[in-house]
Amino acid sequence: MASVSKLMESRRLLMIILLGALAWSLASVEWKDGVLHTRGISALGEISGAIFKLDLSGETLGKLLIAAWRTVAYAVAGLSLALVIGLPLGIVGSGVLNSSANKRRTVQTLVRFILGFLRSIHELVWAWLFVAAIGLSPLAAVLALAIPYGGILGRIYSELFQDVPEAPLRALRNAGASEWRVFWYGRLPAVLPELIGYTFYRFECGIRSATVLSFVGLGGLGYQIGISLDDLAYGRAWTFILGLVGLIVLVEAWSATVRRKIIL
Amino acid sequence: MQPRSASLNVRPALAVSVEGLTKRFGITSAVNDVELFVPPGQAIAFVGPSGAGKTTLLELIAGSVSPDAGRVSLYGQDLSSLKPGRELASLVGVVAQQYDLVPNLSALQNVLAGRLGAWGAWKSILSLLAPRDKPLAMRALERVGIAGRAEERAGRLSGGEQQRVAIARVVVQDPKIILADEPVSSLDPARAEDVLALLVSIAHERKLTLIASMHAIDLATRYFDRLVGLRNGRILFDCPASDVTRTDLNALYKIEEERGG
Repeated sequence: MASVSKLMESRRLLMIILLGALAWSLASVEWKDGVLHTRGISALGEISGAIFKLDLSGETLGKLLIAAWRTVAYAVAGLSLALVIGLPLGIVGSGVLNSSANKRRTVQTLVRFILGFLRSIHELVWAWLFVAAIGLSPLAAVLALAIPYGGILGRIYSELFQDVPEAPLRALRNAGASEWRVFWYGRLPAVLPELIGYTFYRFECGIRSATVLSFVGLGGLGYQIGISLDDLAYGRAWTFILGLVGLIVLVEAWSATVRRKIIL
Repeated sequence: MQPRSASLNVRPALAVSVEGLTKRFGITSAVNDVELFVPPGQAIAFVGPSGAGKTTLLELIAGSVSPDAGRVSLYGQDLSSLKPGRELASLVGVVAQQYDLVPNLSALQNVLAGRLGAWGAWKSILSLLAPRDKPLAMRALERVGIAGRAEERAGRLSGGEQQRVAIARVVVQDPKIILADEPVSSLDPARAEDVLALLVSIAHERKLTLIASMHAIDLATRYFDRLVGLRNGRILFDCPASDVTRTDLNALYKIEEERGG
């Protein structure tokens, strides 16, 4: 009971801190001159109005197709590499292959540290680093995506592999299976639908990340949206934005089909 | 202590020999100084109230739990000297109560998992994509009467069908001793009898030693050669199933009055 009331107390404290932070941030806004300056409001109207004046010229649609293709290519290449990084680290980092508790803890701590490092740096920062190092090449985009996504996938995979019902695994061990074989026959099948579903979700995030990455100058949908905004061609910008939405919807539909096939 | 030399001569002929076996959990002993000798090919059932130590005794014989005192020998080999994995799996197979199939794998793949102790690493992984030794597994599934459901995911099979798959898996594993912990207690009575009859007849035709823990005393009496009554981790009686008397059973299941000490 004491711990419950303590928890309630710390919750209340947290609430007060958060409310305080909100009040402070609201107070720091310059309300007198209006949040948006007058030109801002008219620009906003112009931009939102442009959604009805989409640029559907052949040239723009051609650019959209190439940009969408490039964005998807970055995402696919980046996520594939992320899978190559994340799956082995996830398997090893879950510690399920180690039967001695000491070894398991050492491996888990070490791999968690590596995974944490990979994903604590945002892909945009990695992109800056790689563009600085190897220039505006597609490789920079792919590496920038693969590293943090590899860290994220590895972390989630390792948790999935740990959290599998014991009874079937015990039965496999009784049949003489080593921990590796228990992994292939017991753990992987148990988590496969969830693993694939989560990887698809991350692929969808990867497409959005690839879009943002292209602002750095790597080409793709984000790059085209940026250029259109610079040209004040809002209709064209919307064409690319809606193209991105369409892309995400397609990936979502694809992932749903694959998952349905696997889960049954 | 009895003289060891006398039992040494007998032991190689025995499928299972258990001497002075004790296992404690905290201060309570789940299994207390148990002696048990099982000749090859015998079907023997542990009976007794819940908490009597039936499951723990099976786990001790399976080598999945290590004893605090005493020893288990399988075909004359000390259990503690047997390597877990291939070596142990070639001697002992286990059929559990339920929920021990991999639900997302097909019945066929679950049966083939019985070969994992014998297969090499690559063969094991490749078999997930293109099943190896398929005829062997199909014969086993045919024997347990569900060859038609080979491609079905195990999670979609009924309780009775799942136990049949588990039996087929142990057939494919091909051990000399089968340990079955309450193999049919999760099934309805009619199905329980079918599955138990199947398990016992497979053990018989392959000349395997079968040791099971049984909840249903009538089934145990009808299908097993020998009954071992366990209570509070000790053997209360150990005799041919036909010799077990009403008095034995009353003593086995009587409600104990709570008494200090």
